[in-house]
Amino acid sequence: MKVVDEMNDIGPLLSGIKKGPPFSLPDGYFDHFQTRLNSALHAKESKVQVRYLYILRPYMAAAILLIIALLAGTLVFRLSHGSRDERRYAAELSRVVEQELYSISEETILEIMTTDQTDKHIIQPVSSDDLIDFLLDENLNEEELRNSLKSTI
Amino acid sequence: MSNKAKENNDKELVVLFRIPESREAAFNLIVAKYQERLYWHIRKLLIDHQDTDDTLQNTFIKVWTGLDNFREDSGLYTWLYRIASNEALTFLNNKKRRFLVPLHDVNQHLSSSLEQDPYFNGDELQLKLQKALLTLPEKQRLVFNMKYFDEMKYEDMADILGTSVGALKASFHHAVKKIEKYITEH
Repeated sequence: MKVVDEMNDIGPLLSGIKKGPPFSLPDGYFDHFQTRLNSALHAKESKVQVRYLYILRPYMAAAILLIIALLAGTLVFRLSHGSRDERRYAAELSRVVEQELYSISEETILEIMTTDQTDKHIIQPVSSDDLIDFLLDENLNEEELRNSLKSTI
Repeated sequence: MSNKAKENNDKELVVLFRIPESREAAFNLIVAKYQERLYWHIRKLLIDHQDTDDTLQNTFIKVWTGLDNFREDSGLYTWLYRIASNEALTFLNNKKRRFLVPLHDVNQHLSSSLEQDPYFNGDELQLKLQKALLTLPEKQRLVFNMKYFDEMKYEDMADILGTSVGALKASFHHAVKKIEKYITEH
């Protein structure tokens, strides 16, 4: 059924009213609408990009902090491991040296110090074999040596 | 242009929109084709030109962002009308919420400002009809506008508004009766 017929049936009073919207609009409205719409769209898109950056900012900061923490952790881990070995090695060495220093004459120590061989001794790792050889050279008996080794290990 | 030709043309526009190189050009064609129809569809509901302009812009912004996801279950025309209708109804609800007043009062305000509206150029009967329309619930007003002014088929209206044809017929019938009553009494 056409609208006109339907209106005649259910609303004859309305069929007498002029159709079409009784409104006007600013001159050239539709000519400029597209341009305004495109600028609104661009503005919205750049706002969305800025908003995304704004939303992501705390996550980016958290990610950077995490990376820094990981790097620092790795560094500290390496350092602490490295220094622990060094500390253990130095402690063992100092204990052995301290015990055996008494059997070394002061002259020998002074000689080593004055001939600048101290650094060489500290820097170059000394193996257990070297130490045993050294102690044997110093005429230590077997029992003394065993006791000395027990106290260092 | 026949409906079939119009539909084919719309399908081409949607295809062109989905190609990045022709996206903007296709969108401009869609705007040029539908801006006037959608403007009047919204204006009849919102009455005020400035409100209509804002809502029309929002409608096309939604089209720009949502056309990629348009599933083509319905025609482009139906889809656009659906967005415009929803935007207009949302605008009215927001206006009501913004001013903390019932929708009835918003409509009453619109009714009283109609006479001073520089963009209203209807005769006395048309003014009465507009005032009568503003006494209807907004969805019933939408149904009346689509049927009475746009002479849309109930089936198309059902697609746009997501309501059954029977419910639309009943709604239109009620609207006409209420409007006639208002005109007779005022």
